[in-house]
Amino acid sequence: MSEQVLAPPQLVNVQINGVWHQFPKGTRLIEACEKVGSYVPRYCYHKKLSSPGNCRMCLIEMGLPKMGPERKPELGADGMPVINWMPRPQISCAQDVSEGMGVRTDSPLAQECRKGVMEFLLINHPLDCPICDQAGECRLQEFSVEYGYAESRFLENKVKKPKNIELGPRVTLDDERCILCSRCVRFCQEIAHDDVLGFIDRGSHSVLTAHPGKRLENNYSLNTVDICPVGALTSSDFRFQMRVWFLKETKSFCTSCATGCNTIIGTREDVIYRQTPRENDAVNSSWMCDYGRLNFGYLQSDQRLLQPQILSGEKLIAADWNATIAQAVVQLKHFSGWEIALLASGRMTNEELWLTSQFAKTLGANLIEIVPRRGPGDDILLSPDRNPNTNGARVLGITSEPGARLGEIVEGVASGRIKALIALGENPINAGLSLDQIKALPAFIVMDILANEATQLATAVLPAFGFAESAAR
Amino acid sequence: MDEAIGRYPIDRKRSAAMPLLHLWQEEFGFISDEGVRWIAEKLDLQPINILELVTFYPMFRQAPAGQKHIRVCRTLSCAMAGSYQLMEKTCGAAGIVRHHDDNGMHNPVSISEDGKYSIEFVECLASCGTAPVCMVQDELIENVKPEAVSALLTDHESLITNHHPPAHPLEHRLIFKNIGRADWTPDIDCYLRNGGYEQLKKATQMSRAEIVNEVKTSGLRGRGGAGFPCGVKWSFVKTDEKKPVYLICNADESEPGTFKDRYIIHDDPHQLLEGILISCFALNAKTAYIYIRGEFPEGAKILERAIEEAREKNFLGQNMLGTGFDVEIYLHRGAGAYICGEETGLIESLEGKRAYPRIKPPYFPAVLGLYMCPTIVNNVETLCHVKHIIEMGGGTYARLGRPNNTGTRIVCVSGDVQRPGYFEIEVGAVTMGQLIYDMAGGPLPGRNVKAVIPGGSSAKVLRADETFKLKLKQADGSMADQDATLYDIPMDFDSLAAAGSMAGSGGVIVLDDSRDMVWTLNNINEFYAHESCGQCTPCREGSLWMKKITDRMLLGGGVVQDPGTLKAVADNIAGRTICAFGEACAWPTQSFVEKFKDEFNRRSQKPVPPAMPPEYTPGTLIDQENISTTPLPRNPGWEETATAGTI
Amino acid sequence: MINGKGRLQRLNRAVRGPGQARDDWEILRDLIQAYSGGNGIYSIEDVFRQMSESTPALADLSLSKISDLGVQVMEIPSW
Repeated sequence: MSEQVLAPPQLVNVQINGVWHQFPKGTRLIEACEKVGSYVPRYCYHKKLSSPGNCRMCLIEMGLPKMGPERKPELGADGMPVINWMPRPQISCAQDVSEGMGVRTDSPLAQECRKGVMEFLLINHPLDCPICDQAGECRLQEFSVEYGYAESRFLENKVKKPKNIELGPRVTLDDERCILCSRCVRFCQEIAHDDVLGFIDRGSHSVLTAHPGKRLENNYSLNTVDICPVGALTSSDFRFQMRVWFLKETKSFCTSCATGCNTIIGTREDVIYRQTPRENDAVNSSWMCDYGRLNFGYLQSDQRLLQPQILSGEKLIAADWNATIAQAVVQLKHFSGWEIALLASGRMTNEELWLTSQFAKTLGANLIEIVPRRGPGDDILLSPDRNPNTNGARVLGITSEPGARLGEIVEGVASGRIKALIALGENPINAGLSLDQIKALPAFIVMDILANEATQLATAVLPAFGFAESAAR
Repeated sequence: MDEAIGRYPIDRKRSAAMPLLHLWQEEFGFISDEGVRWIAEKLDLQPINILELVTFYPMFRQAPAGQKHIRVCRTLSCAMAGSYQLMEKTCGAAGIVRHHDDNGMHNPVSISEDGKYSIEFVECLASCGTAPVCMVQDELIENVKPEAVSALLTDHESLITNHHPPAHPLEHRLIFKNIGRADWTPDIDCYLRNGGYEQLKKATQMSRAEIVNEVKTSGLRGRGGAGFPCGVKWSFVKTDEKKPVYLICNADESEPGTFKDRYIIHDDPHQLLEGILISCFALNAKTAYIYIRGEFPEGAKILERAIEEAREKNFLGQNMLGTGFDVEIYLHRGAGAYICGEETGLIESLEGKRAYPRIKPPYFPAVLGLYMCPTIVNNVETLCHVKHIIEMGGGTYARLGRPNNTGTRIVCVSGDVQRPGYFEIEVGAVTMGQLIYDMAGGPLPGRNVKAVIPGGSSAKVLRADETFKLKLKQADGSMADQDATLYDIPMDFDSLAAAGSMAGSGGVIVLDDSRDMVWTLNNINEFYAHESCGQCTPCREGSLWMKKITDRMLLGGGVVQDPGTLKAVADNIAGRTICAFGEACAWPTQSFVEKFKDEFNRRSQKPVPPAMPPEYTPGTLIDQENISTTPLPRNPGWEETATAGTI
Repeated sequence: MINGKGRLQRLNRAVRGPGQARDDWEILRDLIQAYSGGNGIYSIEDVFRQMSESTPALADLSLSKISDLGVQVMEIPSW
């Protein structure tokens, strides 16, 4: 009898499709299979949620070591445990790996199981693909390609359930498409701490719903749309806007608060259609809040500043970039450093903030501050600091305490000491200045995205990019 | 209501949801939206949590019923005895127009115009021996004859019978010793006069290990349907367990064909309590819950009274019988879900949630059961056997019955026999033939037995003309393989398993040659489609699919592929589900289709409908099916995108 | 940008800016150069490099080193 090949502590030996691998203790079996390239299809399992094991799509053949006398595993010629294969398939999403476990993910039995479950899911599923937003990223579609039958043998009438329900202000529900995987219910209970979804009725007529008095309106409701494997929960904002296979996907992060949830921005031909969270366990797990997710519309607003402008007489006129830059510089050269203030933003990137500090040095100005932005935070993702780069501003020496020197700027402008104000991505009204005070400024240079009541009073307007338009940085 | 909440641990108020719903419905007649919110608030839950329960359990109504509410059983034995005709007649007499909700799940409640009566079909009421049965308000009316319909509506109490036939000579009455005795009443004094609670006293003098050992030696197998060795189950609980241990008595008797626990609960409740208390002592379980099905309201009252009587005599409560052991038994009423008979489904229901069974692994009840504490779930009859095991000793008990199939069990015979009813027999001492012909009187005059379902509707059906290869006792006392007919099969676990079926819950349903097997299967399929909890995909979709296929076959639309499809669907369910309900709903289909091929083929003659003809255009769809073509409220800009050029 | 927990993360361009708008850093660079004459900054990598060289927290980094998942650059006590 050969010596038992033991794994190092904290690792266990697992045989997947005939090959022995080692995994850390506590690895979920379905994750272990995926790690070695044997992806097991699944609906109800989600890495970040509890496992109910109800979709039965991840059924595989499992075996445990054959035990000899004294409860020690029998060993084969290769020193690895001989595996007793269980006749009954097991789900892989709710069990962790254990020493000597064997898994077959592609055996005839596993294939049969998947085909069976696939067929069951499709018999009452409506033929909505042409009008369903999920098409192109739908798990039913994906797994049907591999495990579905080309022909249906279901000749009965399908179960009818409510469709096109406004489950909340941002989420639309279609109960016929729902496969009752309960991901959304678990998400609302476990992650969003807003237990508002549940199943009513029983059996094949079970229906997902919220209690009539309540809505799915918490600040994380759109994550349920992400995790819904089918088109049952869809984003009302994105409804019928664009087919997902046309979307170009750009990795980025959200700039609506200091958390900086990692995102994917979906665009086509320079139009942003949606943002979805990207998994980053160091920042946002797999989620993002609705507020940040939908906060991109302003980039496509018709208030965007499109033209560099210079004050000529009493009016702002369009000019080209060279002229505008030159004119801004001319305006600034009139004043010495202590007469210039820079109003920077916690929404600027590090590169911009660093260049700002360089610019201030060049000007000899040292009165520079960012406008703080605070709001209620929750203990899930949303930060009470609504500026995404406060720390960048701190690290780069722009501010020590956000907003601390705003009083100085306001006082300086009011007293007339500050004669030139450079507003970079912020409206001076938010810093505490009045329109009259702004109007009285001899030089007021604005670099911003959207027009506002202050930009109209500028002496030079420099239209800039939003977060989704900035080049890689 | 507060008393109800007090029956559960302080941090587990959710468990009181069902009792509160029962109380609300008793008070107001139905659960209004206000009720949902009020109860949710009282238990620190969300309204959706309560709404989930109200819609899951059919006994909870969301709209008022009539002044007199009638529940007619539609499951197999009652349907065979004419419950559908009973429904028709009663609706006619009460002036009720029944609506058939094809898309609903629960059988709908239909109310008469004047609001005096309402009626609904319910699934098996656990009184198949006296089929057809119905419940009027809280009373069970048995053997309802067609002539009795008007009495049913006006004066139903007059129809209540209490017929207990004497024991048949082939019986061996142990549990049912007192059922039907003329001088027997369910109160504690009668029980004590007859030697009651002596075994409890005896058990308290034994050590826990001793009691568990006796149960192991006795070879007692669970009587709820699975037949799992009770002693082995008990030994799964660690003796040095730190978490509280719970014992749950599964009194949710709902398996069609089974009606034994009913009599124990209604007629001999103290036997059950004594069994529970002995078991609690053995397992160091300080709290026991009796989960009784909602359709036994009288039984619930009787048990509550019995518990109070036992408390007065210090058989339970603080310092039971001076042993220093505190034990409480609480009653928890179900509300009409067969899946609550599944042990983890029961645990979920007790916790106040929808009765979704748990995945095993990891949620084995003996490790992670009620409130994630070690829990033992035992059937009513099993717990009663524990008392007798203490009385006669495990070894003596094991000499009853056959090796590995020890003791006695109560079999219930219903369907097409002359004397349906319950019979307590030594396991394996009586054959199927003796049971059906000698004890139950054989088929009705002029009829022949065609098939038998031996263990509740979940068991595979056996043809009357089949032969089986079984190990049977020979004349010289030895065991040898032999070709046996249906009637030779001894009524024990192993023989019935060897015959390709199972002993299950002991509900024997006899089908004679007047029965259409497709109709029978359809009735069974409808039961499972109604009772499926809907948690996992195969059972949820498949059970309804199989019902729809047999529906269509009965209406004349059976196509050639149907038997094959039925078998394939059943094969895709069995073994792939979270709980044994998958096997339960698949086995009938598998066995009926396989064993009665001609009948199914006769009903599957049509060819498959042709694929859509090519001239089936959206235009014809719109004309014929009135599909709305109103424009979207917001222009999605598809036309512009198309003309905008390539990406 | 550096998020509230001290992690440096990277934006990528998803859409082109509208009209005549220009990237902020280019505008600032042009302003600096117009005011004082060249400062050796022509590309965004130049910006990053100079920034990294003059900021201890961002030392030894380059744009390409910031992976899709970002990199921790500050120790933020979590209260």
